[in-house]
Amino acid sequence: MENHHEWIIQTNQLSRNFGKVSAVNRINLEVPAGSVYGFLGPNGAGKTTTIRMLLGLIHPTFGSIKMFGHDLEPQNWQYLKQIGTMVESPSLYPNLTGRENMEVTRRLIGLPKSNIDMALDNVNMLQAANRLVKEYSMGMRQRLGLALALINQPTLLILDEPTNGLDPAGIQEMRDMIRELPKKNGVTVFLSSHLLSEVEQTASHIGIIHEGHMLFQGSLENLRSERNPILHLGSDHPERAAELLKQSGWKVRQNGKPGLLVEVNGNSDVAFINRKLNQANINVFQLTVQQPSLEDTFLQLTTIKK
Amino acid sequence: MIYFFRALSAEQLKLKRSLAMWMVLIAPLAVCFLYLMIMLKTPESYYGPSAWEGEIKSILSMWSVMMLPLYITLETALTANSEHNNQIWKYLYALPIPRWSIFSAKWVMNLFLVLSSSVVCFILTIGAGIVMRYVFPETGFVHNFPWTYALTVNGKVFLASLFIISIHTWISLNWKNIIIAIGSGMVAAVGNLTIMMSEKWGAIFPWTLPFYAYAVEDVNLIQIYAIALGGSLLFAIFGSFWLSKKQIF
Ligand SMILES: Nc1ncnc2c1ncn2[C@@H]1O[C@H](COP(=O)(O)OP(=O)(O)OP(=O)(O)O)[C@@H](O)[C@H]1O
Ligand SMILES: [Mg+2]
Repeated sequence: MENHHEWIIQTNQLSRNFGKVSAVNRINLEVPAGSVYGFLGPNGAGKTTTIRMLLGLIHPTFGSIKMFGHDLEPQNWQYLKQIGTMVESPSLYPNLTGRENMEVTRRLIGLPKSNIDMALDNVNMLQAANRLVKEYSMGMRQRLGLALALINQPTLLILDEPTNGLDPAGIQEMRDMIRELPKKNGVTVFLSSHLLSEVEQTASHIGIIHEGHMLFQGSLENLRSERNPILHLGSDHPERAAELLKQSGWKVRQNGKPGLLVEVNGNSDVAFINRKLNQANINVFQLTVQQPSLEDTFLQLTTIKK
Repeated sequence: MIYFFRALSAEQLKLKRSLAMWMVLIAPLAVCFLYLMIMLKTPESYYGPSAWEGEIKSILSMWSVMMLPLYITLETALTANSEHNNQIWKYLYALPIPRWSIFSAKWVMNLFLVLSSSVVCFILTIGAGIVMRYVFPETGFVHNFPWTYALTVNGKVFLASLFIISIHTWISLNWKNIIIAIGSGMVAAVGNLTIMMSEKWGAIFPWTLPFYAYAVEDVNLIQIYAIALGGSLLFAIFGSFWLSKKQIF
């Protein structure tokens, strides 16, 4: 653990309930300056709720937030000067052109005109800027949304599922843009996604949230080293095998195929499992140990049933 | 203060190519065109010297009792819905600006939209009379246009409508569901027709104030303006405060 870090975002026991639903439960985010922080979790994990609290759009039920080292207080909006956001979907007026949409924000926060072209250029939208937004494709809207987030030259960019609704080429393009940002202007990026594969090429740090709880937080390397190998097990009675292994405390997942995936610690575990199944008259015909992909790790973490 | 002017200038840009902008013309046009049709059918009612006054008063009663409340309802709903429908709040409230500036700019813009349509209605009232003058030269429309009278009564109606504008600006911005904004306006406009009849309630019910301000004899004008302007201002401050505290889910 590095002993000194400048956290751009730091939360302490941050929680938010909606009635009885605990959407975010005592999470301690630590987002280092200059990082691309991938905030991961399946649908309903609490990502958007967390982001809304960071932006002051909703209040925490419990816990506190530090942005740029200062405690967040209600009605204080000064810290937002350094932030650019896109939450869930871009916020655009369809009756205006792309450029006019930028102009609305420019007027609101009183920026020089040159910021508009700079931001549009950053997302390759200069060409289409004079067309009406209602004629835009999903990808163009998403890019204009990103331009709106960049208009004030923020030092922290908070993006909630920025690749929502994009095609594979669009996703790749968005990824490249996000990856370039910290290098170009020293921007810290906090972005949420429900796919690890989507951020593993961009992110330097990862936080995994599931049902409001933080399951993992650290660098990508940490996540890589933290996982157990996976045993791919083929047998003639997969259901019985699964039952048996679960009873003795192994983490077993069905793989869609008749095969099973078992989380193991090493080869001795594999030999042990083989022996156990043979004793129960189950014929084993495949035993392969694999380092899981990051996606597997993510699934492992987020499919644990209580 | 700079935040208010910035927000106002942004509001102005948002109106571009919007239905709200067209309604400024459409609403008064509908009333004045309808009334012109009536006059063309019954020109004999306008033979006297007070043809202009009659016309002004009749158009204004259609305007102040029915069209104006509905128009305010619709305009405030339209300008608010461009924020609700396009999911703008979460972006707007995450911008480095004080939240009251957004509400106050919306409020002033709504006042301006109502004032503009009132001016259009005024101009079209003159236009309709001039059409009558040429089609039926025997009517009283050959006389000079009574500027003082016309400006006074139109001004009274606008001032007395400020309270409704504040109420509807708040309603439409607070509830995402346009049915609430439109429904409340329609209920009030229908309520107008009955409450108008009661001297007691008519002079204090926000929606009947415009009619009472110019059309009813021996009302307490000071009281009407006090309610209209005071209520409007108090409600605007309340709305601004309320919406600044709002959480954006
Ligand atoms: N306004 C709300 N009212 C009630 N419950 C809510 C509200 N917003 C979110 N929730 C609940 O909080 C939990 C977390 O929701 P959230 O939107 O933060 O998830 P998410 O991680 O952003 O999911 P997704 O990937 O689907 O966007 C969910 O159980 C959701 O039902
Ligand atoms: Mg979400």
